[in-house]
Amino acid sequence: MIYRPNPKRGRTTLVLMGALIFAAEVAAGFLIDRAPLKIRFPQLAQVLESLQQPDPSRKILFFGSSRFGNAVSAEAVTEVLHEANVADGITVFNAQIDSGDPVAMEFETDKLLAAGIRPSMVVIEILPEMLSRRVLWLHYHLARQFRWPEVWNSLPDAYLAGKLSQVIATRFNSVYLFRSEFQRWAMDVLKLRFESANLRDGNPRKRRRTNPSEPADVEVLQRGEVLGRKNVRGYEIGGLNARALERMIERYSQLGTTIVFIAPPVSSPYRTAYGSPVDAAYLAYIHRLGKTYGTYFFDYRHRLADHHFYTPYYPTSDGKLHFSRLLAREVIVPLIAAVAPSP
Amino acid sequence: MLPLGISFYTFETISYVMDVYRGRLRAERNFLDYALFIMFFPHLIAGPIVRPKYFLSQVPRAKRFDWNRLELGARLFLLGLVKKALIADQMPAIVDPVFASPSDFSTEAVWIAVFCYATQIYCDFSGYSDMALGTAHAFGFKLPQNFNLPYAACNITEFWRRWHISLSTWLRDYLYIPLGGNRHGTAATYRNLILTMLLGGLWHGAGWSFVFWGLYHGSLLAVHRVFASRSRPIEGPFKPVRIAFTFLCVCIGWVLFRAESMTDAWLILRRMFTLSEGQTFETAEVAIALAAWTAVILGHLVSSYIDMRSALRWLPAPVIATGMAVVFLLVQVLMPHRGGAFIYFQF
Repeated sequence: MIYRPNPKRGRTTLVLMGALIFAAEVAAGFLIDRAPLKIRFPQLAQVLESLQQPDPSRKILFFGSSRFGNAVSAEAVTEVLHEANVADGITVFNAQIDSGDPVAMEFETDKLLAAGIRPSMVVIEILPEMLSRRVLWLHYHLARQFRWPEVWNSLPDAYLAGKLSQVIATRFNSVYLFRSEFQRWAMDVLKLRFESANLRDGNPRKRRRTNPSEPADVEVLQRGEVLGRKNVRGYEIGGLNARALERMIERYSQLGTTIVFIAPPVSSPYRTAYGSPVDAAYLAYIHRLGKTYGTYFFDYRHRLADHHFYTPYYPTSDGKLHFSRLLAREVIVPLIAAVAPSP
Repeated sequence: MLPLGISFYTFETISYVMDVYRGRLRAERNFLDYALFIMFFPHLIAGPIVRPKYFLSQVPRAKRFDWNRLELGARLFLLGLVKKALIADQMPAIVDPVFASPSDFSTEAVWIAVFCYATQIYCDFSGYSDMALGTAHAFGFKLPQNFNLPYAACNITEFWRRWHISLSTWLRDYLYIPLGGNRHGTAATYRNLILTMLLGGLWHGAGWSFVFWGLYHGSLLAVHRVFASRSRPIEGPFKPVRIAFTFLCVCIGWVLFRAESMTDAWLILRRMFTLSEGQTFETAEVAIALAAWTAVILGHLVSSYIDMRSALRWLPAPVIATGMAVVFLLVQVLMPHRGGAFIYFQF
């Protein structure tokens, strides 16, 4: 048989291939929306697993980002509660998650409440950049928690933050962007313990190159000012983060949970980046929330000296202990005493 | 630090000057056409090394958009992508630790790493060449084939006819033959072979490991020439043994090529051939290595017996489209996070 080239064959093949790839990418976006929490958001799954132990105690939960992870020691706080004789029947747990801004915290709250975990007090990390309309950690939310409806709702803020292409990519290049999740999911479904070097190493961006026990040198801390300015560029409170925060505290206030906002310590160069207009808008907003929902606010941004930081905003191990004890003594103990039922 | 792809376009300009000087080629009067020959982006960085006559004769031909050509280009590109992203980029997790610290690893682990490096360099470089060929094809240009199942070679001479063909033929035409080739007696032929390969090694970089790698291959070619002239070719059941032996010789060469220093190279070779204790690889790594080797061996076997391009012509377009889409999606899912740059970008 003689082969006769068909001029339309190439076009048919390429168009069909493109259509199939596009369909698979979109389908992968829907599929990832159904992925179990341990696949898509393993850190939160671990937090939930730790909290789901049968335990009748009242829970004080710390919500926040890696900053809280580096700044708050649940053990140190508990120790101070014991010293003050208010620790009975209370469990302190640091439920921070990396890049845990109000959008992530609200998601965490949904999962906690759905699992029947009702904290008696929530201590929420809040810094000006965490309320900015320019959502700093949008890419994390897209990767870990956003489904189609949230993706759709995030479009205006994503446009403002200049991250529209990221949002579109997560839905139309899902196979590539969620490849680690799909690999883990497949392994999980197949009950395989096979873990490639690729998976084991994880995201290289997550590897820390600094030592938490050694204070940062001046040069490192100075970089905090540039970073801080970048984080509050075009500062305007609102959008996804502010809405998520308000929804979340409304739910907690309905449950009778004590809500405490803490502005955690940051180094002095990082602090200067905020400037007075940013600070004024931030403080006004937090005080408005206080009036509306009865929340407490404590500003600890300036409470640790620069030698207590190993990055512009992560306290050293010593700084962590110092801040945790300070926070427990000045905030947690008095609040426990204040809200405790009178004899 | 050297400009990207300098070795490649240097050779191309040398061949242009030589060909014009020898009267094999008319000097190109159109500067843009000449610039296109040198800077045509698919082959600029890592080849294939294109001969001026081959490329410049294609430039004046009218280029029309052709879906079939584009599809063939896409297929070649996809093949290259599979080799690079799915196979080559999985290898550094196994290769790099051993070559960084050979004394920590056992004999078995060193062998695995060396075979993995042979897989990596083949898939990385031939993957790039396939992608270059595919891209050029989409633009209406044909580039010369650079690899032809090199690990199926029965001897080292055949290996060099199948590996980095554009370099080996360049070395033959512009170095070996001008040096005298095989025209001035046996001793001169061996000298020319060794000298040519030595310079071929140096083309990769000014390091002792490349010098020794070139010398090693030159010596192998000379030794093969001695035996080939004295014995009849062996066919039949011994062919796999010859292929395996050739592959082993090539792998020893890769140790010299990849090792960070000559001291490391000797250490690796010593550990390969004497039983040594040390770290071994986990099941996951061994499984990845086995999967990669299987893919390469299957690729060589299938392509040795079946003309894939002709075979694909008879498949219906929807079948090919589905196959290509599935392969593309598989590449996306399985490619590692830390894909490295192409190895030959450094040359």
